[in-house]
Order: sequence, then structure tokens, then C-alpha cells
Amino acid sequence: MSFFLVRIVLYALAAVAAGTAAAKFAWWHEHLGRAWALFSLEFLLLLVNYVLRRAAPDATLALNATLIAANLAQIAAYWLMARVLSAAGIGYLMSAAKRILLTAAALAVAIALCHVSLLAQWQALRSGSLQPGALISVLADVITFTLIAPLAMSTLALRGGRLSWIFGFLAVSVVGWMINTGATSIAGAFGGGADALRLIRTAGVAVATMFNAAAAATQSFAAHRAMKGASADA
Amino acid sequence: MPEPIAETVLSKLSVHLGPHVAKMTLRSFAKKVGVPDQEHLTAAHVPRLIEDIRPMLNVMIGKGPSESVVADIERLTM
Repeated sequence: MSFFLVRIVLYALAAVAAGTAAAKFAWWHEHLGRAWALFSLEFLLLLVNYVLRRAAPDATLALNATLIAANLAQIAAYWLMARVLSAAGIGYLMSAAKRILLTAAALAVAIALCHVSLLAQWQALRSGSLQPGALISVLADVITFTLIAPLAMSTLALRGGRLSWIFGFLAVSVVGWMINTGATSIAGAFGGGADALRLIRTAGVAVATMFNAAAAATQSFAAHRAMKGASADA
Repeated sequence: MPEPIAETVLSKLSVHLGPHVAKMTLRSFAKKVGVPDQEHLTAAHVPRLIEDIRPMLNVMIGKGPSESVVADIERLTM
């Protein structure tokens, strides 16, 4: 199967899994529903953007619009999941100092990983050739990579419970986006060419989408088991 | 001998939140209902405890599953 088809399948799978989870939580009416609805929207838009890139490479407006919307949906979705404990009123269970320290460390790693793209966007801004889609994409990477800190802390805090797996899978999905962003450096370090670069990018997308889908499936399954368990006991 | 209230609530919360967060959450909610130590929770405290726990569970695990967990706690403690 070509890289193109692999990506299409991965985006579609992640969109369906997230959509199924969102439906379990009444879509926009609940905190978790909003997060999964946004993840579903993100993957759907990435799918459309990816198809458009091949089918209509000159459709700049549509390409930019889908890329910007997908990145904004991604930021919002990870943000909502990263602050579930705070939204539930139990954010205080994690020490503020530890939270700030780990988030600052994650931000430093995010900037280090994205520094080439950030510098390119800075140059584009100065020369007046800024592309909104590319800028939002880099900023989305920095924010998403930073959110790995609260996701990892939630994973640790909730260890032993069903929710821990969801946050763990989401944290790994962020690592997938990191691989995708750092593909050029990784391919360069191993002396790989264009094919290696494409393979690493696809591998990064595969990790991001598969683990996001795993998190969505775990969320749906946990909700199903909680409700089924109660009716079975009654 | 019936299971103490705290243990019943903890076992139900731990399934989703893990033992660490479940314990800390219960301790905090017990204080809210005026009990200094979760071990001293009685059936009389359960309605108020559930009132406090429900919004937290609604966000953490969703409204449907939250209602199931709360119903389970009510059934086992009241």
C-alpha cells in the first residue's frame, strides 16, 4: 500500500474512533465529548487537507483553511484533555511547583524540536511572506508538545485506574507528532534520503493516529463498562 | 459485617481514578462534608458526599458512567 493510502486510512481510523468516543459523551454537551469531537474534526480536516494536497495542489485557500482549522482543533482537543483534572475540580491533587517545572521543561523541548520551523516563520514574518497555515502549524506543534507534561502527569496520578490508559495513549500520540515534526532531523542523522524522510513522517503520523484512536477506544470502552457494570449489578 | 463506607466509595472510584487520586479525592470530599477522617464517614454523609462527587465524576468519566458509579455507591452504602 502506498504512503498516500496508509495516511488516508490512519486519519480516517482516528477520526472515526474519536467521533465514536464523542458520541458516547453527547458531543458538545460534555467536557470529554467536546475534546473527542475536536479530535475527530482535526483528523477529518487533516484527511481532507492531505487529499487536497494531491488532488488540488493550487487550492491555496482550501489548503490553508483546512490546515489552520485542523491545528486549532488539535490544540483545543489536547488542551481540554490536559486540563480534565482541573475542570473536575481536583487539579490541586498535583503539586503546582511540579506542574510548572514539568510544563516549562516540556516547553523547552518543544521549542528545541521546532526551532528550525520557528526561525523560518520569523524570517517569513520579517520578509512579509508569512503563510498563516504554516505559522499556525508550528505554533500548534509547540503548544501540543508542551501539553505532553500535563498529560503525562495525569497518567501518573491516575495510575491503576482506567483513565490512566487514556492519558498515557494521548501522551504517546503527542510523541508521534514529535517524530513527524522532527522527521527531517531524524532522516538527516541516519543519512536517509527523501524516501526515508517520507517513511519517518508516515511512522510519526501512524504513532499519533493509532495511539489517539487507542485512547478514544479506551474512553468509549471504559464508559461502556461503567454503564454495563451498574446495570449488571442492579 | 458491612464494608465501611470509605472502602466502598474508594473501591468504586479507584476503578476509574486509580487508588491514589481516589483516596485523595475522598479525603478532600470527606472534609467538605465535615468529617475530618474519611474512615468516619457514615451512611448519613453519603447523600451530601455524592452531591459533591457527582460533578467531579461527570467531567472525569462522563455523565452516563458517572450516574452508574453514583447509583452503585448509593445502592451499596444507603
